[in-house]
Amino acid sequence: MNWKDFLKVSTLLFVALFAFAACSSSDDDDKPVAEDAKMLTFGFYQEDNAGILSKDYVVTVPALVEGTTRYNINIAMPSIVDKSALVARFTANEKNAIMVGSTPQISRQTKNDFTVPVDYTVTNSDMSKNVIYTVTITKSANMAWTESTLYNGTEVYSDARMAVSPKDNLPYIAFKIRKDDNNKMSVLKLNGSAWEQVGAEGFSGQVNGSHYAFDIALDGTPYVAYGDQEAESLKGALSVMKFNGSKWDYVGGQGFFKVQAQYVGIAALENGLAVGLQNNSKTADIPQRALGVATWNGSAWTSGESSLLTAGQPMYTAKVGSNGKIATMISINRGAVDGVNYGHNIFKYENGQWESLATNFLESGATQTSIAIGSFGTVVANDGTIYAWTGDDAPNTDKVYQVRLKRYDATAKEWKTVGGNTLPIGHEAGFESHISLDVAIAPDGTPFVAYNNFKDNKKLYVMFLDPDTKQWTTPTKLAEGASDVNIDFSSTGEGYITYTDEENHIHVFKYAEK
Amino acid sequence: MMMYRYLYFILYTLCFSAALIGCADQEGEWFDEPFVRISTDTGQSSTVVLSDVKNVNTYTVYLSSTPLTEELTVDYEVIVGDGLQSGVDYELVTQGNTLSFLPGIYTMPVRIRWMPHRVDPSKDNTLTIRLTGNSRSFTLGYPGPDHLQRQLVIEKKND
Repeated sequence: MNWKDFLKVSTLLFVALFAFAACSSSDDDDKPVAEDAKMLTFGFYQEDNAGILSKDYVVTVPALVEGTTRYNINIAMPSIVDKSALVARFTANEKNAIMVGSTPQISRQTKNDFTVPVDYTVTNSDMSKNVIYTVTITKSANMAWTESTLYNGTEVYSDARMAVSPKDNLPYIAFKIRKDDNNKMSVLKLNGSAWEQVGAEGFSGQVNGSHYAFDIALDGTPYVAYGDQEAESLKGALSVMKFNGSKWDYVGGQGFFKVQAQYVGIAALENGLAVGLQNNSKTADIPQRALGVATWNGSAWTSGESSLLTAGQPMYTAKVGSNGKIATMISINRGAVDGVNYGHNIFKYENGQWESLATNFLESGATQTSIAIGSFGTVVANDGTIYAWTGDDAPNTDKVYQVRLKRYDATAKEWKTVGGNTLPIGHEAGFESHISLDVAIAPDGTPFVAYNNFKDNKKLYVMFLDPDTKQWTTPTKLAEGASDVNIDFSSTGEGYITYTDEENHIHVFKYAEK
Repeated sequence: MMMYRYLYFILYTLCFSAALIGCADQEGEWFDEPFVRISTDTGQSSTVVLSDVKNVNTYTVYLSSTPLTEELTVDYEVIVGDGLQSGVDYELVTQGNTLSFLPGIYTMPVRIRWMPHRVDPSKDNTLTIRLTGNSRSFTLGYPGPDHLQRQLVIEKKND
């Protein structure tokens, strides 16, 4: 090696060593590691708040999670407690400092106004680590969701439907049997902790896809409607069956409506039945893709294309809701109609008359109504108030499809977004097309929303419009991976949520007093 | 001679690798532009509060940056339309106009207490929280020409 080569090699070696050395964190390694910033205990004690609290309120402080520096501590207290100057008792890691804003906090001594959330900042001794615990005093609730008996007697096809009987106040669930390609309807009810078969298992003809619906009349009679693969008039024609107390009978004959029935919905009313569907056959009694309606007056069916839409107008899908007296139907147009892209229609059926409450409607500024099957629907409250929910990408959703619940103001004849905003589900990057969302109105008029949260691995969440704040509550997580979410209330205020899990079994949550 | 070339190749490779690997614990700073933004908890830059709402709502300022070793302060202003009255329609719970992001903290709240009171629809019933600056000249709003979420607009509407 000559002098030049030696110089080259030496230079390169030096550069390489320097480059690696520059990344070394040996200086850092020599430093003593400071303790974590961490709150250990937190609570409000009667002893520290004499004359204000009648008992101790102590919570478990969330454990530190790597990469997370904000934590919520929620403490439930009765609403009548004066929270404006409460003294907290807490501990943190030794040498940690605790501040609220610029005020140092001393356990059992410092008062804070807990009528608003209070942020406790915990800082370690070398000030390299900070963690914030937001302490919020929430209202004590005497109601809770608890899981009831799992049904795993068979495998359930998608779109199982649940309704609470107005008669016995028990949850009934209708589904198509998946196991062994049975493909026939079955209905169960949960009586206490026991599942009971309602009529024979697999009582119907074979069902087309998941095109079936379920409702229970005010007198407690369950009904199913479905696209019947065994109908003679046309494969997939509409059949409706009712349970007569011992067995299921056809209402008006098997496959009475010559359509290929898809997206079927049924309302069991005190003076008849109303069914909505989309026809998927070119050889049916109505045009392909048209919105079909069928009403039963107690002795005969009247069926055909909806007269509230332009003849032959193609629609994408439809759903039906009811309260036993009034039926509602929502349908989404297929493509553009009069320049409106995937507008939606909402109809009301009462005393034998259909009425349009929205026609080819699209939220202001939205590109289209979402066609995600689980993102829309309609329900009628016990007092007759009509609700519908749809997805849209209106400007105030930052061009992300979000679901909004709307209430029909019958006086002003207009739809109003409940709570003022889309539901706080929080889709961030595009609407999740597989969302399953359902709405029920409790007997006191409180809207509840249950859904599977695709931001959190399809977990089951529920929220309601807080009657005090008039805003949606923070959604509560109830269970792991959920599909086919249904929610309904009994007239006595007991709520039920059902869903199917990844093994196609049925779960039930009940909302009742603790 | 062949051996020297081989040696050069090894050394050049070492230098190049060192440059590429760089200081891995700072990975991202070279590619990410640090910024602060404000939105609702569901990521929206405009939202509605109905006139019957009675609640303390939290709006969040987010810091997006590699770990900081010193405090970052973020300044903001609250612009209130002529239709809203403090103490009648709302109250600012978060006092002052500066938020302090201590090392390791990436979100800070701005809280507003909304009070039930109907508004005059002919007036401007918006309350805007706008980020105005910060102690390290980080971008305000998302990087990009529109600086989306530099501000959050809350409109009070009659229920």
